[in-house]
Amino acid sequence: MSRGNWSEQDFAGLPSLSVAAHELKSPITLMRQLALALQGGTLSVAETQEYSARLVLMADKSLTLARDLSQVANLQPALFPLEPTNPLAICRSLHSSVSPMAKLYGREVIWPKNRTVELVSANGRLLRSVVSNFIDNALKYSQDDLPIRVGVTRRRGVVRIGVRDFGPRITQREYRRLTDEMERLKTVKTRPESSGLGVYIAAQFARAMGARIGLIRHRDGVTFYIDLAASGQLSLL
Amino acid sequence: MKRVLIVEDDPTWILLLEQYAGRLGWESVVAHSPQLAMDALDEQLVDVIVLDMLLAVETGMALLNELRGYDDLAAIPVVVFTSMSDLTLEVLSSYGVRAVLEKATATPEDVVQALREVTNG
Repeated sequence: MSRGNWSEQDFAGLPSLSVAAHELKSPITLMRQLALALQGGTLSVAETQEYSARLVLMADKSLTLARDLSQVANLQPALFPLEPTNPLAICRSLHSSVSPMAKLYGREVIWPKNRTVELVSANGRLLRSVVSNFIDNALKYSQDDLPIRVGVTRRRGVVRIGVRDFGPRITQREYRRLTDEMERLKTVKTRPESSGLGVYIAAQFARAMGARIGLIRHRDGVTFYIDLAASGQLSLL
Repeated sequence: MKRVLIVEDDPTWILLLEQYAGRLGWESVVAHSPQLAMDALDEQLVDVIVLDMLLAVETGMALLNELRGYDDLAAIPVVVFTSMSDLTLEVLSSYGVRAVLEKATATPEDVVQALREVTNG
């Protein structure tokens, strides 16, 4: 984005300020309430530790979103070069950051156990954000006691990382709306309180990597996925 | 001992609301959706319902509409605790809502006070 006079093009692809504000408001509102509760001085030691841990979690969530928004606004190839990337390594790196949130929601995340390494042409940081956004969405949307499954599959020259959640079946009309919004890179509201920003960010990051995201409707939930070009790197060995 | 039904799907808000009810010495029952709330009310009646409006799958309005269909449930006071800033008591009072609190501005004491007031103690 150039400084000085911003053109219409500078704003193309950016979510509206109100959408970004709405999404940032949610964790910040929780942080405020947690801080007030801590300030009250009526909590037990265990409660104080729990509330403090959640305060940090919410702060991390806010910072991650702010970073993602900043990256969406500055998606220049030079800043996010593509290189051979191991999707399994991406998943492993997400494990520690996703676990606290998954525990909060009482959900289990099942990670891929592939033995074969399939490299993809991607930017590690952006890919990590995409998968993280999908998992975040699944954590809020899936039903109690059912796990979220992350899978990596390859078909011909395309490697797919999918995040499957088990929840209410979405209607055909809802499915068409979601896929249409994803195609047109609009914010994708997957839930009533969702601003649609998470999936929008994922779509923008995917596009920056020459990848694409999609959605599969199941009888009992959805799979959000990102399709990436397989890297020929290993085949040269 | 009074009992509050918390209809909320965010785990941290649930933790906070349970703590606030605990300050009054009340028991909490939690439901993550309007459907689960109705199932919970089938098991046992409560003295007050604290309701988040923006829930996954269905909004809180689904529950408010459902409650109106039953004499015993329609009598239960509802405190709406929401992130929406444009909801007012005037709009919701006909649904049995007795207080509307905004998450971004309410304090723990506001919530405790509202619970106390709508249940007359």
